Amino acid sequence: MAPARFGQSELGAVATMAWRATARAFRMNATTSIGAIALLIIVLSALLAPWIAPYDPLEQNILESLQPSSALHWLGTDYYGRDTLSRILYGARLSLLIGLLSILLAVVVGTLIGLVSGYFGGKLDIVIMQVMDVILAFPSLILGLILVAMLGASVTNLILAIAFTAIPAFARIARAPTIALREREFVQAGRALGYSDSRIMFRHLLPNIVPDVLVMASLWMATAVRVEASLAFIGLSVAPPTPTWGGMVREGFENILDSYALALFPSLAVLILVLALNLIGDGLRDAIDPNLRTES
Amino acid sequence: MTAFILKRIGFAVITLFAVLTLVFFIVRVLPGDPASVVLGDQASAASIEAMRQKLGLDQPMVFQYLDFLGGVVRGDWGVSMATGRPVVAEVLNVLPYTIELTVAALILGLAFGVPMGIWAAVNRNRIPDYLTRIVSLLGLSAPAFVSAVILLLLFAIQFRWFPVISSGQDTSLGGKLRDLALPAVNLGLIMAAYITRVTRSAMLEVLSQDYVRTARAKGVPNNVVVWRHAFRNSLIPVVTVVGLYLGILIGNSVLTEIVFNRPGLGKLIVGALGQRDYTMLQGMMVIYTFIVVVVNLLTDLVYGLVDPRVQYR
Amino acid sequence: MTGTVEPVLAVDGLRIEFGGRSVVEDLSFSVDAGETVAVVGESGSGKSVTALSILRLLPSTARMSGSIRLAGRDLLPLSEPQMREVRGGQVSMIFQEPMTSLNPVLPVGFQVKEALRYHSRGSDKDCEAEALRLFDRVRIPDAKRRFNQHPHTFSGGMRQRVMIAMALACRPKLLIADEPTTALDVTVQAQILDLLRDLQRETGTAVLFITHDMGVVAQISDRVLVMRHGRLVESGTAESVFGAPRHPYTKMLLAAVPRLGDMAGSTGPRRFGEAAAGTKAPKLERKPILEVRDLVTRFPVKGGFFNRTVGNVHAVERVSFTVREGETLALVGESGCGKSTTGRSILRLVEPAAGSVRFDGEDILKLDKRALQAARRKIQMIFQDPFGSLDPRQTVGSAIAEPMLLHGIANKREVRDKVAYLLQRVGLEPVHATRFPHEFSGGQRQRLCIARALALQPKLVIADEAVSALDVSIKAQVIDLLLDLQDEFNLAYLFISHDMAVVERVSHRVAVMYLGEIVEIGPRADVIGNPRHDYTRRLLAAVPVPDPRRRTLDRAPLGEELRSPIRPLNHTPDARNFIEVTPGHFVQASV
Repeated sequence: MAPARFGQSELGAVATMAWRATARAFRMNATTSIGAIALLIIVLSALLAPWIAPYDPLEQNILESLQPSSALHWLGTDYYGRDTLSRILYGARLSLLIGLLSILLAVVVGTLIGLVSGYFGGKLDIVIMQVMDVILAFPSLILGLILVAMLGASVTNLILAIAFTAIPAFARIARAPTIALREREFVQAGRALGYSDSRIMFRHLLPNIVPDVLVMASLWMATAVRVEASLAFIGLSVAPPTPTWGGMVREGFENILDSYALALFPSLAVLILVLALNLIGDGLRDAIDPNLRTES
Repeated sequence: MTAFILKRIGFAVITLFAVLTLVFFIVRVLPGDPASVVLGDQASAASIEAMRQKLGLDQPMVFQYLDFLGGVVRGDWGVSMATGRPVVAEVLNVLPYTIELTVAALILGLAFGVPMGIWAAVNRNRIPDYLTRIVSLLGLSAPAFVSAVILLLLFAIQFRWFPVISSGQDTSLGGKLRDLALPAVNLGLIMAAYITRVTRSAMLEVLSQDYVRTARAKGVPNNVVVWRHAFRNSLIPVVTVVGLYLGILIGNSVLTEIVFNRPGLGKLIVGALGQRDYTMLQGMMVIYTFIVVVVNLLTDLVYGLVDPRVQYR
Repeated sequence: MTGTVEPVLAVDGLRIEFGGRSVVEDLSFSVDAGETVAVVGESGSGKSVTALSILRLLPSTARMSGSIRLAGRDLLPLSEPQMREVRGGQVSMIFQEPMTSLNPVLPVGFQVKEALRYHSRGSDKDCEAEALRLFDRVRIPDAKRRFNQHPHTFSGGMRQRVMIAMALACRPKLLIADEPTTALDVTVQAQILDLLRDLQRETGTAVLFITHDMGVVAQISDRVLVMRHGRLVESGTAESVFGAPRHPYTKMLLAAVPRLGDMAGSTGPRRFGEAAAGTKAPKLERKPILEVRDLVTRFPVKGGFFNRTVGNVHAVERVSFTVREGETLALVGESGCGKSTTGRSILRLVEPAAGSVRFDGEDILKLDKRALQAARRKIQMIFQDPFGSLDPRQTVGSAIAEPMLLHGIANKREVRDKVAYLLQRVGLEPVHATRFPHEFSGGQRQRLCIARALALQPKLVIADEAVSALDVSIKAQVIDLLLDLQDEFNLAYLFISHDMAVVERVSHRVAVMYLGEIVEIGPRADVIGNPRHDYTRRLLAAVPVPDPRRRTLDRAPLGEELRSPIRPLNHTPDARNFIEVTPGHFVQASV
């Protein structure tokens, strides 16, 4: 007879379940895998940019200004003759960094707010959620825009501003299942067994809402990347000459009558990254959606 | 029903008040003194002090707050530091363009999104479903400026069907529509993508409900089941989400207005950012707050119309 | 079934598959005009799938073969438009969940009218008039006014009447009723069954009645089909199936059904495995461990312009009782009577407004947070829903070990053995410790919950509808387990249930609750054998007895549905007096 294992292996078991759900997501539909592969390629090229980029992204060559695609410059050049492909590869670093860190921050803060607010309920919950609703209702782009304008454009401030706009979404997504689960009998049973509130919240409720939060995180990372690119397009991102995708589109847009390449390729880069993240988020959601679950 | 409307209006006023307070404090609590933001990094201490006096920042906080609220209520939102004209006048001047654009986009979004969502749900896991899912995912993955640039490249530069710059100078109906077409399509497509997705999932949820089975069991034809029994119920979540997405729409209108060089709140706010027009920025936040609260109120009221259970709460 | 008249419904060699897995196999039966045929079985028997297959309402993944003949015409090859004529026109159906089976955004009258509209040539006006007549026929009071209201303003019983009106609108040849009364309170169930039978007499409709409740079967059916794992195991007249069951499964099923009145003449509980009634007397001489005095729990009702409290739900109103060591007190009543709130108030899972709960000498209502967590150790709770009672992301071993480690009952080294012991004690295997809750059946999960409760060595267990969601045969096993554990550990139970027959089986004493108050309390034999309060009598009369020779429901009193316990803010409840009828048997004096 195998010895009964539990306790320490608990986390491992939950991780296994999460892994199985993810694996199911990828088995279930091919589009999720496409998204994952695309994301992997973008992440790798961002990491390996110094080795695979054909040119220095900051190297100007005024003689090759606004070139179309060619054998020398696969995706053309910008006004200063800088290689677009190299700049896109380096630009990916900023998009990924800001997207990842801002959502990480929002996940931690937002989940905590939603969990505590939902579990204790009452007046505090009403007030907190009202505030969250108002922030959520405010167009996130405009909120981010004003915050960055006030704080000043820097990587840290961009992360803070985007995280701030995303926190309410995570508070909501964590609160809804918390409220549903709070009435579930296993939580009542936990209280009857003499468990403390923090134990119930963090040992029993949190693992149950993590899947919802993860799905939301991948979808919101797509939003974060989009907002960062939009801010850069407006001119509110790290200062030039550091390449950002949104900033490159802006340059291309301003020179659109001379060369379409400079506007088009960074646009496609943004589109592909956001789409990849959305595809993954969708696949994960389908995998954990109880309506679609095959097991009874 | 009247009680319900009154209650929602009262609630909206309270929210408005709360957000205005929030706006006021965000502007002041954030690091970065407005006066130095206005004047830039190289400004001297004396000129910053002078600017602080001009903006009323040397007054006690409570006084500033009451002044701000009073101004908002009276319609006195200060004077633009860039143009010297009242902020309210500047805002009202361009507001119709933005409203025109968002309403057109909303209509387009509903006209395409709702039927596509239903089509996908009814044909779940068949080709129409896959098609709409891919198309709608593309639509909501494209940042508004990306799709706008692509539309511009295609239809204004390549085919020359529409003007590159929709200046709003041509005031005839035809001219207005030509100006509106590309920006509205750009925003409308994005809105349609969101609405398709939410309609699809709401319909899937509703189609699995017991009462849909009841309707089938009494021999109601399929299209009546879909439209009368399922769709009316799926409207309840759709309305909520459309209200939420209007925020995204308004945000995206900023980018659209820049790309198509179209007058509106978006151009105004970006211009104010560039010129560090602090009073204008504060005024913009007030007007956006108004818009958000009014949209929320309308969503609540439509909700009351769609769901009979609401009236009795 | 001889004779030349063709049966209304003739099912022959029906087989239903979902994705290659067959759920119904080789099923043949028929229903004649004016006849009521009951299909009984436990969950997974395929009875509901069979019901849906007749109307071809199964999801498109289902594969059907065989034949389903309606008055001679095979339904399986029909096209969708032809099927639509059949649905609602010739065959109609009533579903289990009245709360979700009506469209919430359409007025109820319209929904009944709609059934007529697609099957008759009459004008809209004619349909409306006919629908209104149907409202009267299903005895919906104030029909004219209620016609245009939305479903959420109707109670469960009233909604089921609307469903019946809808189903009978086009005078179908066959009515399929899929667990139509399962979600209803027992007194409402009696009224609905009564109504169904009256209407059937008038119209001569054939009825196919799907249910898991042997009592209901015995009360309403002419013939009975017993299904198990998708196959028909026995069929015959109600008298023969109940009187002389042939198949072992039927015998087991009937043996597992408690019959109200079976226990007359005995005083203690009795296991299903035992032939003779228990003889243990109520342990009046034993020490009380739980004394509840004048317990009051209220929930505010919000409303008005500023969401002020405009009234209170008097969920529990001055409830007093005592539970003694090793004794079972049953708390019975219908939904909304406050029995569950009483249980939760004792553990302060909801905060009571007044009263005292003395347990082991200390008043639980006066404890601070830390002392309360310690006190909860000695009182454990088992809930109704075995699917919701366990954290889905925790292994069952850990779920059982966690409270022991937390309360210091076992250290890390001992805990594994203790978990193994507890699992064995409730009839499971030690190897099950590493599994997750979703890998267990409903009955097994309830055993796990019992093991977890026992881990803390409680003196009192509050069982809130603990066996109500279980299948008949599983229910009997879990009840036997609970009775074994009571003897072994000298446990006291507060057994909260709506099921009078089960209550009679397990309890020493019974308290009947109505609108938040206890109306009658006393030794089980006295309360059930000699009910004195009006409400207790109504409740007992409404219980369907699983014996076709004792058709008691004809005499079901037409009482109103449970009234509301919502009172205005400053309401002071009337003073209540109790009369002691026989020693220990108290009845609330009528006002």
